Amino acid sequence: MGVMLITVAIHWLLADHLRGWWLILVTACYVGFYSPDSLVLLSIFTVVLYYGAGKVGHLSGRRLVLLIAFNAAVLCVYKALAALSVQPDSSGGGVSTFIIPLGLSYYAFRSIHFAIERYKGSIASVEFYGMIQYLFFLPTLVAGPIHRFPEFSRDLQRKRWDGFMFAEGIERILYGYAKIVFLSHLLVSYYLELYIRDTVPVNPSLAAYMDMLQGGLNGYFLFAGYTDIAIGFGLLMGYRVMENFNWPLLRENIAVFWRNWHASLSSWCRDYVYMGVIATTRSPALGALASMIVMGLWHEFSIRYVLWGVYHGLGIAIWQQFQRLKAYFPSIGNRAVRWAWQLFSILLTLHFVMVGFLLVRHDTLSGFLDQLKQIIWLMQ
Amino acid sequence: MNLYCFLRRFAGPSLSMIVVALWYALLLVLIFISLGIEGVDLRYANM
Repeated sequence: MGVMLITVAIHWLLADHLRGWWLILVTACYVGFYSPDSLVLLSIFTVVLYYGAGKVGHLSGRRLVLLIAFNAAVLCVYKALAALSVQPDSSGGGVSTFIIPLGLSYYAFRSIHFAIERYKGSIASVEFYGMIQYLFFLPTLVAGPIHRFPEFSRDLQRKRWDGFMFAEGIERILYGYAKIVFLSHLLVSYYLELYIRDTVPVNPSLAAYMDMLQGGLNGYFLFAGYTDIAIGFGLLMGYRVMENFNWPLLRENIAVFWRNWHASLSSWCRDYVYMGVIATTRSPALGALASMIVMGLWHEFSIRYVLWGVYHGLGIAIWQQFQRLKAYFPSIGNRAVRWAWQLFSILLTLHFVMVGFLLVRHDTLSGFLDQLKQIIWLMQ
Repeated sequence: MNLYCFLRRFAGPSLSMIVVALWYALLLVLIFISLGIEGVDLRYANM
């Protein structure tokens, strides 16, 4: 919070042409202090992207492939090192002793986005100052969102004080802290945990079910809270960063859920993985499966995240098939039935997502299946 | 300010501002109560 206040205050006190350099300096100091290797990597990414993407003219396909391969290879090496360094812990699970450089997953995907858009021609020319500001943007560096360069570039041009934007920024930061501290830490992690502990001896199935909900809700409130703070921080300095969450847990189907949960990553995968697979195979189901596996591997190189990706990919593929079959069903005319169907759809999607979270919370498949069995007992 | 703009559709500027101020105050109180209950020393709460 202190870093944020000082950064914003000095940002607005400085002359227009110095504000960008100020933010780059703060980002370099922040990242250099917490993760020096990340600062080195981020600098290498910036230089490679600047010289690789070419200042003007068309970016060739060969250069694009090399740029993507470089970014993906660095990311994969670090993810693989983290996966290989997992040591067994006292609880029977595993813990990684290797820490991935701060924000690497985010800025690697931003660099790939920049290269692809440069190839497509939506980024006509590359200016070093604009590009370094995009990659060294502190608000989104640590926990996303994976914002897009064209929108960022528009904000760079504007550079003027906007009181409404500033007030909105304060509001978003307040919401972010409320989500993290009140909803996640106090209600979900503290009070719900107490309730689960009391319930275990009385009704272990209900406790297992509540534990599944606790994990999912905790993850949501924490991540949405960090995103609110990042968006608010950006707004305080006059940048409108893309939204990442929009009531995802109250959505009617898994496809809509993914448009509203970590939207910056899911839209990245839609644009650069899903569309690519569809263009070559003409199969939306394969596109969904590939996108979700990439999304899983982006989180962690592990079997559980591959399974999580397959689980969601299959969920989307089944939903796509269901959409085709829906045309043969009679439409629901009754309002009450339609409302009940909507409620059922929301609950089904919510539980599908929660089971997915449960899968990645367990280190072993047997641990996941044991808890799932306990939950299923509750339903009988 | 999103909340203020939303409230302005139904109420005047003064009433909207009062509701917004109360809402922000409530959020701040909840944040600090949460930090207190969890036993977090406010000096190190990264606030």
